[in-house]
Amino acid sequence: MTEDPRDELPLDVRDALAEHREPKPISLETKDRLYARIESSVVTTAPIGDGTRASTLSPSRIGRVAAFVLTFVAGAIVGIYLHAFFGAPEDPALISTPPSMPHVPDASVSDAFQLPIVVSDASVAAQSIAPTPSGHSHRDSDAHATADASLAQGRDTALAAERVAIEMARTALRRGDAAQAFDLLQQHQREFAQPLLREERDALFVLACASTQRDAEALARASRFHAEFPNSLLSSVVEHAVQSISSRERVPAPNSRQTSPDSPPTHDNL
Amino acid sequence: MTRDVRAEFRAIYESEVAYVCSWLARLGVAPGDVEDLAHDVFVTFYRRFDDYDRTRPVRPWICGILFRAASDYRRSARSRKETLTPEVELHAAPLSSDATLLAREEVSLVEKALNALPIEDRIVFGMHEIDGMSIPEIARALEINVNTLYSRVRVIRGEFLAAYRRFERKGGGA
Repeated sequence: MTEDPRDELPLDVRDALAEHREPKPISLETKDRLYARIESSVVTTAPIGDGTRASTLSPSRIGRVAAFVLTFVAGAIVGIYLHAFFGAPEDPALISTPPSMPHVPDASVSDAFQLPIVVSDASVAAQSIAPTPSGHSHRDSDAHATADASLAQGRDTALAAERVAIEMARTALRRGDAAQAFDLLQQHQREFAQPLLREERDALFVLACASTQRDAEALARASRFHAEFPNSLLSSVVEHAVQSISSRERVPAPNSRQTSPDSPPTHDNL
Repeated sequence: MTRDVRAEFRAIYESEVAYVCSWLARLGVAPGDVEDLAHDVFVTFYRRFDDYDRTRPVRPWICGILFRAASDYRRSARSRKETLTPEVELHAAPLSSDATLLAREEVSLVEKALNALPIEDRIVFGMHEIDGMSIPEIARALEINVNTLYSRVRVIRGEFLAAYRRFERKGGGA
């Protein structure tokens, strides 16, 4: 079917629609303010177009980068150990490893294959089990340096992706769309199995639950939050949400904490 | 390359931000929430920038994103009246010469008739009849079967026209 039925509208109506074609302009101030918000949301490690563009934030791309980095690190570690234990050169002069170098337990090798999928954790784990560079050739050191750089970049990318997700949830919450915020937080929970911004997410969860009348869930989440993050800067925000529930229902909140009434926290504190 | 990307995104933002805000308002987003939704639309656009086909016009692509954002917004059905961020200042578009009064009335009639449509129909009708996009472009942007869309546009056009005439008989614009 290729017929274009646009001409069926009467001429006066088409003229009226044509008057509607130009979008209403917005002020320069609004435009600049909005762009600044967008830029701060999509860019954390570098401005737009400075080499770490936020297009790297798409979940599929993060997955590909994480898979590549993990494969590279696992391969490098396995190669290093295989080289150290089975492939040492016969000429002692070429062996840079001193004879007294302690053997790394086999468990460390198997641990390398149990690295979590999250890039940031992988980097920490890889660093914690990595042998000292002095025991290996320059090529191994270079490989480690490259792996470290890749991991650092992957970690930054993952963090940027999380920040975008959290920011969108926070924005939804701020405009009163708590249901949407809750959905976004659940999406974050699904996409980031071991998040770097879990504290922020869990605090937002409490606020979203409280705003959507899921009082029992909000209180339970608040209790967990206080238990897991006892020194969190967001505790007052969470507590404020708990108190709002308590005052609404006149039901004492479990694990309530006292906060200063002088400065009631808001969503913006997150 | 990277500078080009930045310049490209900025250029698209500059040229389309008013369009996005107008469409969000047209889809029933409260004035106080338009800026927040526009923020989400452009963040989503940025995140999907690699998927954007530069050989095609950008507006259908943006419409697809903003329609989903507006749908989610409306689905939540909790659009609070409280305004926490400054409203986007939509200035009245300058109108030409002696046709000003007539045009204002017609714009108002168009808005009323559009508001009489469900937003799924409103976006389709507006993209086609106001923005002049082709049916295949709209079908691609909104992920609708193109033949279904041809049929749907006919129905929507009839509904819009009926609403337009109804408001016209009642006395026209606001």
